[in-house]
Amino acid sequence: MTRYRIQAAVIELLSITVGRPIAPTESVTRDSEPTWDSLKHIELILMLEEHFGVRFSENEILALCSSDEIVDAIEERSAT
Amino acid sequence: MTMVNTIEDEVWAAPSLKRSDLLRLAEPPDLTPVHLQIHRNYAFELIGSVLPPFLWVAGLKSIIAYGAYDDTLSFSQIDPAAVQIISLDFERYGELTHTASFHDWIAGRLENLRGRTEGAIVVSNWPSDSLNAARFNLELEKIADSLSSVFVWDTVEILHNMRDEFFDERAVVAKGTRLSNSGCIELARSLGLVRLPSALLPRIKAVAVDLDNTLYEGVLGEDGVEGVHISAKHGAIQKELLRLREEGVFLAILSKNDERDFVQLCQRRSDFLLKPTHFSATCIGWQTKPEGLVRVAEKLRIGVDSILVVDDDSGEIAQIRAVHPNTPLLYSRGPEQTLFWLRHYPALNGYRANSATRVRLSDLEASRQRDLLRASSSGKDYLREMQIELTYALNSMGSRGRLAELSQKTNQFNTGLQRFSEVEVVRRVELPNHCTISVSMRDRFCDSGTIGAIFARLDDERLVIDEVSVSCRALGRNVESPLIALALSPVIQQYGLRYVSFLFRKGPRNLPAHLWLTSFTGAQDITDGSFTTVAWESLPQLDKHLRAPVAHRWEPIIE
Repeated sequence: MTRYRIQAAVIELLSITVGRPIAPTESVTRDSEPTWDSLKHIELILMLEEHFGVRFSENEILALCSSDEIVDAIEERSAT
Repeated sequence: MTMVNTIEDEVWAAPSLKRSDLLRLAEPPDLTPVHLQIHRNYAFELIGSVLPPFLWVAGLKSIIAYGAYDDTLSFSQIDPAAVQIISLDFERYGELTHTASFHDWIAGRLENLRGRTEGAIVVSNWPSDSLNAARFNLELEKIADSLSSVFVWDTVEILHNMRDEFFDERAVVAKGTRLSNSGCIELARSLGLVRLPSALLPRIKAVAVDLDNTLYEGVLGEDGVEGVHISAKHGAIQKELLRLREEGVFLAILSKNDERDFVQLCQRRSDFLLKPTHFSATCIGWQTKPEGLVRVAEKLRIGVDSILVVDDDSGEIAQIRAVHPNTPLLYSRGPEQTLFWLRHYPALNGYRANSATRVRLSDLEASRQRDLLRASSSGKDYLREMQIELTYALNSMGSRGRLAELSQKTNQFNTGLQRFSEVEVVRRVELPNHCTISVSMRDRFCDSGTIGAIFARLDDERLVIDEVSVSCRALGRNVESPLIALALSPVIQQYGLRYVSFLFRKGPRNLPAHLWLTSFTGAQDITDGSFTTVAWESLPQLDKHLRAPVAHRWEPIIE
């Protein structure tokens, strides 16, 4: 899967999570989104796992705090 | 409550649901709000966030309130009007769960909550294969049965269906639960489609099925009896329908076909499990589906909005919806979906069996025999020949569930439309100066069970009747006035009362109750929301009612 397609899917799931449309080029962080709370974060992780067929560890779940970090983590797994 | 009356989006029925698909769905309009208060010791939020789309199918919009995680179930903050949901991770209690005092503890907590709230209480059981969990779950069922409007949410069945996918022990700290994502979704599906609707909504009374491409694959009129294909899934659909019939749901056929072909199909195909005798009403012919549905409803003596229609033709589904907007509809896209929805359609499954459900089917047949008798008898002879026996019980706690059901579900003969919950019935039974009377009826044709409920209270010289509910199964025997006069008379005599005062509230379908009240009291100006007060001795034809040829007795009061 190309980075572009990963990015598009992540942005779509993030927009469901935060409840607003997000532009494809927009970089979103937990700090910048008040609605991206701990529950929404877990929901986002579960949706990412569903969509990409990946599994995140406890530490990764806590560390993934921006759209860019999420795209990087999924791209890395897709490459291996 | 308004039911969503068609199911066109199959997201809810998909074998493997995705959280993102559920969260993408748009909320439909005109939902009825339902407040849910969650008591839990794990992250129920992962279930709660995907619960709303399932409740939408039942026309309900959930408004969820969470307290802090609480292993002790202290219920520190309670919204008395909300539906209470208790969902615990029982593994957290460790060895404690092996002790009898753990069972006593959960019983005590449920009793405490029951005493503090009005609405239904739903408590999840323990999803585990262990013997200890099985023992606990059995005890939980008994505790729930002993309390009003407490319902067990069966999570064990979901565990068994999902096996290893139910739990996901990875990242438990971050997630706040041992449940997997798909486990949470399946729990939400079971809670939203089955458990909560069955705790909140009156049950659908009948399922009317189409024939072609619904109970088998093919067109009977074209493919012939031997040409239609009955797959394993179609067989499973027929078994589900038989299960529903066993639970007291009427089965009916609503089909554009030749009835002789259907009879041939039943006779010649041993793999067609349903037989004509399984159907309490059939409308097989060339009338429109909306017309046919009215005929089915008339034969079953129920409203068209109590019948779930299952049909593979989207055009006919739309036609029924246009004429009968409140009729629940199931568009049968294929046998798999039909099977799913017969198991999960809101307000069809998850109900406790009671005396009324057991007698419903035999009572319909008996009512047809009564019609024949009526046609051949005069009025008084008809009552005598019916050999009616009425049994009254005053303030009977054992009948509380049935009394609440009569209050909530009776639409035609309901004078006050108070819609008392089981908890409110219990309160009225216990309150001084209140008389709650249950009426059971049998005649020469069948035992109809408890068919009437009278909710009254003493007020100075008046007996105030807040509600009289008589099941439609008991109507049409011309026995309503004797039935009610014989119930009220001993109360009037015992307390030396002089007046009866009936509350009347107008509903969409309680014209029969209005007509009866007019006739019984002689009052001509009964208006919506008013009390009609009449001197007991002045009631027209009171003597005739009290001397009607019906046997009656009172059950002894058990303290």
